Amino acid sequence: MFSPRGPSQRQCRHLREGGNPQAVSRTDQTPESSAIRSPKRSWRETAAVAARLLALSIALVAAGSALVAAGSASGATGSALAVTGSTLAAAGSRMAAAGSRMTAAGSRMTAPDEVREIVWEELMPPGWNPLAVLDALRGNDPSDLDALPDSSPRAIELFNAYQEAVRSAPVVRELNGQKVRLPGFVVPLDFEGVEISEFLLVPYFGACIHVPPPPSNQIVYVKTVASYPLQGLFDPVWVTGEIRTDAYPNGLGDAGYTLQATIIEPY
Amino acid sequence: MAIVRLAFLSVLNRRVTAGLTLLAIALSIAMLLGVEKVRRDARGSFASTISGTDLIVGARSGAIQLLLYSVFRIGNATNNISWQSYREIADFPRVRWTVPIALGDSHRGFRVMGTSEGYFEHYRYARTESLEFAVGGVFDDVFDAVLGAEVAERLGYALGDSLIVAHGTGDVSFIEHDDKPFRVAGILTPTGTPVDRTVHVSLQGYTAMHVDWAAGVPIPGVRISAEEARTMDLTPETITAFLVGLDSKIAIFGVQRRINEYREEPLLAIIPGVALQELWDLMSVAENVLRVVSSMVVVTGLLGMLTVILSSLEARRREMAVLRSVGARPLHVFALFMSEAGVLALLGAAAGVVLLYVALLVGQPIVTREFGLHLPLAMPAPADWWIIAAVVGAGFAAGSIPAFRAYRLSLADGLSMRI
Repeated sequence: MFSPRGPSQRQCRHLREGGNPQAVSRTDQTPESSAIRSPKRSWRETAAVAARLLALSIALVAAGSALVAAGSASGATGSALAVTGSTLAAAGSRMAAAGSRMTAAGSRMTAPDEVREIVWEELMPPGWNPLAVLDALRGNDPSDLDALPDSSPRAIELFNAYQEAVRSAPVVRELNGQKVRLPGFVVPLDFEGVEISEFLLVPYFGACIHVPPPPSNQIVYVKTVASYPLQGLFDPVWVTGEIRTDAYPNGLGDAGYTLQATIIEPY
Repeated sequence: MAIVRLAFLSVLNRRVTAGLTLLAIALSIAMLLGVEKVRRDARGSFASTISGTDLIVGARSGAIQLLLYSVFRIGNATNNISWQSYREIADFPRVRWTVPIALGDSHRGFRVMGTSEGYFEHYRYARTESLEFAVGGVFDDVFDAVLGAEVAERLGYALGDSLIVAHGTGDVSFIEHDDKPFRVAGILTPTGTPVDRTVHVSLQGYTAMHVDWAAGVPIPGVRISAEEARTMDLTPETITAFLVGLDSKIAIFGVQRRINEYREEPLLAIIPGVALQELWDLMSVAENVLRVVSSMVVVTGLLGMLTVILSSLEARRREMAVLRSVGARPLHVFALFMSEAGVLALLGAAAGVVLLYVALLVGQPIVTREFGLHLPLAMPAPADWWIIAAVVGAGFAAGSIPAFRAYRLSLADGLSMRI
């Protein structure tokens, strides 16, 4: 690749070709010149140069990440304030729901503190069968339900009555206050910038399109402090948090499940 | 850090060429960051336009279309809905509040919306913000109007001014309701939403304007004055859409299904959050294309820098020989060229960020006026810093190619150029 030439040869070449002798450095005259280094000895200095370059690039990266950290620190302050605000709001709503919490106090005391993974069937009280509701509504009607066209008045009437019944479906009170982990699909309700802050968790995709929609004990209203960037409506998520069961005032039926989410992650 | 200083001085020596390279890198970074910012802010401002509304109901068209014309005033409704249907649904058991909306007229390019006082009470944006009045208050009289902040500012209206509403939604209109002037009763504070670009009137005012119209034209020979109209029953017969708030979020699906299957009239009920998400899923293809194009522009800028440095290598062989003769080792030459490229990339990135903010400062009011996009002047997001760091890193890495070539050349040339 390269063979170093001694200074004398180079000097001679310059003189032979008649070039500018001043192009040759004075230090070339002496063999012990520090300017001439054999490749083997320069590796030590190679390391020094490389170390300097590395230091420069590390300094740049550190500056960049310091700026990133500053940016995210201000974001962290913002979310810390949000946490404080929502804690106060949660305290307020707890006072309002004091009645239902007293009735659930017994089950609360025995409920485990660690996070429990649950499935959607657990949200329906055992023995509650939505189809049984339909049978009860039909009473002694002997007509075959499958033979009725969807738009016939009887079918519509039965369907509307069925919808009324499942719209305030019973909830499992023992779940109140438990920390659970539940997978599901997201129906966004409110956005924080480009991320969602409130949503409904449903067991199947397209719950707002399908007929009938899920009964009210198969829908969870999730509120979160740290908003979640949803990539698409098709993406299921794991939601972890404390689940609550509230009832409507004036005994109008169960309002369904609410979940204060602490962790939301992709499925 | 003598190497860095040497690199800087060397670049300064060739400042015209280096300046052009810097400009190329600055423009490409400004473009990439600008695209990211517009994408993020556009989505954020769209998403924060409406909050707290559980359902929006209109004539049966499509979810995105209904969202666009009812909330963003983009596009038009396919049909109106009857007052009876509205009243029946407002009386459904789970419904807590409703706000009717009527659209179709405009005032000098701004949409005119007929609504009830409940709009100013129930409409929310950016999660928790509600509408506030800078001056004045809600409608008192049939012919009162409440202006959005931008309408008042651009057209120079103050409290008490009168305005004429035109028929249709174009910027120019050939038919106006000039017998029924409206009086400005209130002006809202800026919200950064389409509310700023809307003239709000009462539903009764909307009806009053069209009371002597039939089949889309004023009835010939019939003129009902504003005073006469005041005395008539001005309950609207049709409205364009209405907002619904329920007493429980869980009930949303049930009420939505009931409205969608309402037998008296073809209606469509949408969940605003879902429709917004669908809109963004649609736009994500365009967003990704924009991102790819901007990245290609950055790559082009860096390649330009590479080309300039590589092409100058031949001319700088004497420079390298001089440096070697005063004691620089080949590795120093390598480091010099790499730092030079890195310094150019770094300065280019800094210039690009400055360029972006200057462009934002200048263009922000224009963009808000023309496109309704609110682009706040904020510090770059963390993602932006990573982009800048990646470009600077790529600049350094790209610099290693001419640096290696220079290293080889300086090794071959030694202390003086071999011609």
